[in-house]
Amino acid sequence: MPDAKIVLDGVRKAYRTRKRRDSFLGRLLPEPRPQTVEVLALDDLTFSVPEGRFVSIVGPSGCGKTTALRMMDGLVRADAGRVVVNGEPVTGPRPECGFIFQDFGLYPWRSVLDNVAFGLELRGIAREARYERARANIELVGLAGFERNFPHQLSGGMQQRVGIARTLTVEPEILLMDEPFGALDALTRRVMQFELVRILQARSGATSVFVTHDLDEAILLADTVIVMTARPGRVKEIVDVPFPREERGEPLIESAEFSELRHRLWKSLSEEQAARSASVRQSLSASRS
Amino acid sequence: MTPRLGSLVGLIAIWWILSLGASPFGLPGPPAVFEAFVELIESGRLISALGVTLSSFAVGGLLAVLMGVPLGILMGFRPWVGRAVDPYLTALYVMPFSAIVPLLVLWFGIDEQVRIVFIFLFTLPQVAIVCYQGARRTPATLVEVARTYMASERQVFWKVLIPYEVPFIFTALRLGVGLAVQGMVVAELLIASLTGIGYLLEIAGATLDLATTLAIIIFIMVLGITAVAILQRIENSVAPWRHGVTIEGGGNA
Repeated sequence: MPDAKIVLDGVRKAYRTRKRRDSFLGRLLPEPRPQTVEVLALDDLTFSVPEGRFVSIVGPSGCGKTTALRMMDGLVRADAGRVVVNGEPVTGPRPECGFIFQDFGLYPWRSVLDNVAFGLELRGIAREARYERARANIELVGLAGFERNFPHQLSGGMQQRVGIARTLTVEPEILLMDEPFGALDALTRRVMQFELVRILQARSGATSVFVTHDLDEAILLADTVIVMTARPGRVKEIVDVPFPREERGEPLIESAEFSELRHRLWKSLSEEQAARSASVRQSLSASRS
Repeated sequence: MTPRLGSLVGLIAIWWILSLGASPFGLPGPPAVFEAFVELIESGRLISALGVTLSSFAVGGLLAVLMGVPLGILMGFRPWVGRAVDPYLTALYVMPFSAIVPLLVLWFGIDEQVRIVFIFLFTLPQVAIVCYQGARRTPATLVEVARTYMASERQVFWKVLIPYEVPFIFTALRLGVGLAVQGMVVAELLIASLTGIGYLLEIAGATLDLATTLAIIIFIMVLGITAVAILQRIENSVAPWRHGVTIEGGGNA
């Protein structure tokens, strides 16, 4: 696929944790080899994101979707397989990627303006120039007038608006979003979903990957929804969202077509959730015996 | 009347009432203590003693802060330094200081030098430990955010770690002032010297001059409270955002 902006090819990731000896005596005895337990988070994960597309990734909790997202910005290394962005293998954070965090990650000692200008400050852009670009994005996310406030003075929704503005200010070609509305209450979350639709329409052209638990949000925002399997995570199915971008709004969520698609994704996802619960039960009973 | 002023007036009133029932050798009242204080000032004894004491206090405390703050930050920024140094700080922290006085006297004599060393050793571990805690607890997300914007190690240090550390540094300074005051008095009481506040205290104690003793103690406390309040003021203007974050550990954080 020549126009693929992001490619994950056969990606594998395991987390190792050291197992503790259960009994007191067991801890005293010399251990022949430290026992480590390997949890396979991702196995043979393969998909690609074409330029300019918005892809949502949904999957049961613990399926490694956040890990996959973090790999795209080089925050996590794959054990095996390739992660390629813009035709280059990812070895660390990349300037063309912008990452939006679930817990906002704002600097409490920086004003809204200085938080939003942070990325440009690191790149050595002069104060006036970076403030100008920061102000434009603060306005875009609807926070004009709050430039001098500090994060603790803002609500959760407003804080994530700052987070979005901060990311947009470095003008990334790729937006990586890790459950950005996961920490918000239901009402604010809904408002922010529509806000993100509006903001991205104003900033068309970016390639976006959006990790979420929320199916409404996944469908509302995306051109394509990727459903992942329970751990170890791989692609279960890829579903195209047929609704045109101009129609993404409240009426769409109420529509029968939307419900139908949501229902289909829900069924697919709940199968995986059930598989995960079964495997958790299994490992619990195995460790007990 | 503010609660603070109220509590002060109440405390003095209670003291006064208690002193009325006690013999002059039991508990001198506020007027007697005030008189003793005026005498200490007028004779110039307090000022000259303070000059001696404060200079060792300032040098010892400053050295402890100048070494403790960077040490603590480095320990947090480079975990291997933390692991290497932490046990020794703890050892210094739990060591009973009065017990090592003979050693210190042997090594550093009984003059200003030994007082400086004493105050330094007394203050250093806590200052360093508080700063270490702060640097170590820098939230991983804040560092990660900087990394996603391609921050260099240097930028992570100066733009994330150090600003996050500022309130901890202030906590360490406040703690340091209190400890240095304690260290200073303890040092002067334990190490026979012929100058300083401790010497004044010793003379007053030996002659059962309780009014003078109390006057000196109250004076030292007021000095300490003032220094801490000034630091608090500075902190509030330098790091106003701190009100919005909860920081665990670090004394009165």
